[in-house]
Amino acid sequence: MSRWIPRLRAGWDRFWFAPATPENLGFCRLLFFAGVLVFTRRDYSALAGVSAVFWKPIWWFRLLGFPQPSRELLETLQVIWRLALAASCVGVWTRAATAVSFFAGTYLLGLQYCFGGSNHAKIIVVWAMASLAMSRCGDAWSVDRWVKARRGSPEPAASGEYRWPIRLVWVAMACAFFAAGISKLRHAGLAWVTSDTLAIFLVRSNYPLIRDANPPMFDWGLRLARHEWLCRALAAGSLAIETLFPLALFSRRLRPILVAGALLMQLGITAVMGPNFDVFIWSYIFWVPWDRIAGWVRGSKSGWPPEPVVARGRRLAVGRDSASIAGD
Amino acid sequence: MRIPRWLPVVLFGVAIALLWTIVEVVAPAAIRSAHSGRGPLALRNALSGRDVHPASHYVAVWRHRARPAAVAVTVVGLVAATLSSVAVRRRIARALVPRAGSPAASLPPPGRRAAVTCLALGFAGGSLIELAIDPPYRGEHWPFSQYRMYSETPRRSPLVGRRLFGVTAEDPAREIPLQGAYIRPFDGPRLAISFDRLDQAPDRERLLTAALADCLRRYELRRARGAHAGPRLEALRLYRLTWNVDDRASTRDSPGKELIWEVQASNPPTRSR
Repeated sequence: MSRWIPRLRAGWDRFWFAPATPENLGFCRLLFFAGVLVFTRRDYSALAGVSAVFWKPIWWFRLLGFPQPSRELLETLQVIWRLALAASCVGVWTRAATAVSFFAGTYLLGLQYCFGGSNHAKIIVVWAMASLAMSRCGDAWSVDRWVKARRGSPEPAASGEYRWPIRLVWVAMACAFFAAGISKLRHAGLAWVTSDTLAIFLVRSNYPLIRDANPPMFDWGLRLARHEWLCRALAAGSLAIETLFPLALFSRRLRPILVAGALLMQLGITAVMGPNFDVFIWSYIFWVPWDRIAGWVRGSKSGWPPEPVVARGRRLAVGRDSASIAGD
Repeated sequence: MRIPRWLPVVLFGVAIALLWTIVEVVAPAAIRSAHSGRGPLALRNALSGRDVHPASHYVAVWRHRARPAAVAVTVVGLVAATLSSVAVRRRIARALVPRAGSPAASLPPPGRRAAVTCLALGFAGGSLIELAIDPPYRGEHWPFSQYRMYSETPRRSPLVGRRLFGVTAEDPAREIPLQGAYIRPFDGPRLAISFDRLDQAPDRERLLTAALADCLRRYELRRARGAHAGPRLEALRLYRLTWNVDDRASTRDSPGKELIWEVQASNPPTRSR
């Protein structure tokens, strides 16, 4: 047992804190906050005008004693949130802007679920904003970095600080898919695959006013539902991707298969069943090794950059022009 | 005497098969038997309210409680059986040792590491607790969730739901379904959940009247502001819709409608705040 604990600690530290260049995290920050700005555009202040009979606060609103807010408060808060999101996106006062984005965003997103039940579609936004707010995500691809560079500040070296925020989003997505798979096994068992469950959901999605989500983009679900074997195969594939998705955290070989499979699954669900995974799908940007792509674009003549090679047990020194390790 | 290596595996497999047979076959059969007045007295006494609930209700309750426990026992057993293999333990140990070519950890200060660990464990722990307590769909402890959407085994037909319709101030009046821009800041499913809750409340008449009047007021306010291009409404009706589903969705435009509640536009719309 005594030799396992140091190994587990070392494995834990390597998972979260293996050194990475700041480029990947910085570019993910830029894209992510731009996506949040687009996908959460709505007038939250309208919630202030809803009758109190609809008010059913979620657990932490009840715990903290938050009342139904006034229109003035919401109008102010949503302006602050939008400014903070924009500042987080371009990287102006990044630490403060990401922190404000997290607190204001969590409140506003949570508020809409105080009127008629919660929804898990935007949970990923909260956890991604939390990890970015705690991180040094403004050290690349930001106005802050540009200002520092003009003042002669050296470029930040590779560090574990640029690895863990991305890994936290990976873990959040893995937990979401794993929980979805376990929920299916728990409530329906293998009958979720072996019965007509998926076919029934495909047909139900085409009934207006009764579905759980938006209307489907196409009526292909009705055609799919007529093929029993195809529905069962799709159900088995979906269940396999969901329950096995945590392996993408650890296995380099399985990662592209599981991540691409999950993305295709969600796009398919949106097309034939209707649920809108907009910001969740946008969060797949955290799986893309942007710095490797940037390296490939910059040195396209020499092709894909090589993987870094380090001696066992020694700290890796990764310079600006060296290869990325973000996808490890 | 040496125990063959396959024997524990076979015994484990038999034990798990036995466990699931009890959960899925034996116990439900015993419950059905007790429900019909046969079997052990203790079990018959345990089924309180037999006159009210059918046997399938007790079987469903049993399965809801027993399945998670059986899954937990199976998973723990599988993990223990897997870890009992020397080869597996060696492979895990090898996996925990850094490979040549994998970057060594570049550790931030202990305080930062502790903060990251707290955030990661907080999220993972909250998600696992949510999965374990399994709250009702849309009753999750946001921002944690058990991601239950589409996890149930649905019945094919009929589909039933409460939905809102507006009665236009035209001659002749017509009913239009209220969705999208007509019901902002709600969306259809969330508004339906609210009406489900209000319709089942003890003082449903007061609550439904207030809720429908509020929806009508917001509709007209938004119409006056040009937020949507819907017609003027003189009333709002809440219906229980029932569809007999077929595989081609040919009945989607012809649900059965049962009126639950109605409010008339007696007063001009006013701002509540």
